[in-house]
Amino acid sequence: MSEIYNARGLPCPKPVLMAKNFLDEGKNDFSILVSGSDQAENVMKFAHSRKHSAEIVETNEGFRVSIGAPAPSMKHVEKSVQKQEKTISSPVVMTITSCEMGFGDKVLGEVLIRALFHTLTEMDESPDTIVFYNGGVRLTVEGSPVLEDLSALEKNGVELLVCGTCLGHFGLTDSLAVGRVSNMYAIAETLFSAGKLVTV
Amino acid sequence: MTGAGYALLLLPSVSHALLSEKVVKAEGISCKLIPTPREISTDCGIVLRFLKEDKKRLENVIEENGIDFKRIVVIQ
Repeated sequence: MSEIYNARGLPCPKPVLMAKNFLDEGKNDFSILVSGSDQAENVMKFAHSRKHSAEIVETNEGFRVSIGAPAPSMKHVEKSVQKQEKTISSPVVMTITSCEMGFGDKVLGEVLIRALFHTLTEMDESPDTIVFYNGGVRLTVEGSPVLEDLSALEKNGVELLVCGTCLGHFGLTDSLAVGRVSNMYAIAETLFSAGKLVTV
Repeated sequence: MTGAGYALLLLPSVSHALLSEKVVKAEGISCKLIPTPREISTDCGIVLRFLKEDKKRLENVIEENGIDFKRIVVIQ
């Protein structure tokens, strides 16, 4: 029998943690109710990372993520795997932890990071994923000097993961303008599965 | 790669680049600070890119504000 668990209103990593615990317990037919689409996507992504089928249904009061048995042949899982296949062996991951590139002079650091993102849009080889956390999340919100470049990178298939805890800490959750809100599970997985990790 | 249709204002330092960006933007001229393209060498690694049709306006703004600059390169 399919079980339904309510994670509505719980903060960012909790619904994913809930899914993780159930999968660890061997459950493979359950649903988790969450409030936001970002949370639903994070839960689905986590289930997919464990090779379980998962789908999101929008309900009157939020979203329901239904997680099923491991089913690698399912179409959306295949698609997701295909997408990752190219880079899964050695994805290039870049971490951005502040609004400046390097230490020493704040003003110079801000100019350098703008130059860096402009350059990334022109390079043949761009990173597969850019992870923004701590002060770095400020670059992904409205008014950021690099929004145009980040949008261009995202359009070209670069995944932009933005730490939700950090956005919340700075009171910027509603100002996110580019990228996808993520949690520490996804961020840690991304960092540890990187073939090359670039920190600026 | 910087693109035809653009021109570059070459400046002697990052401080000059930031100041020129500020005054040029204040005049409503669209511009962007970018790294100096490899084929152009200057003392400063940052240039101000703008649309070449704004060249006259930009020159006026830079002159009015007394900002020292090296030269303007129009991308062909």
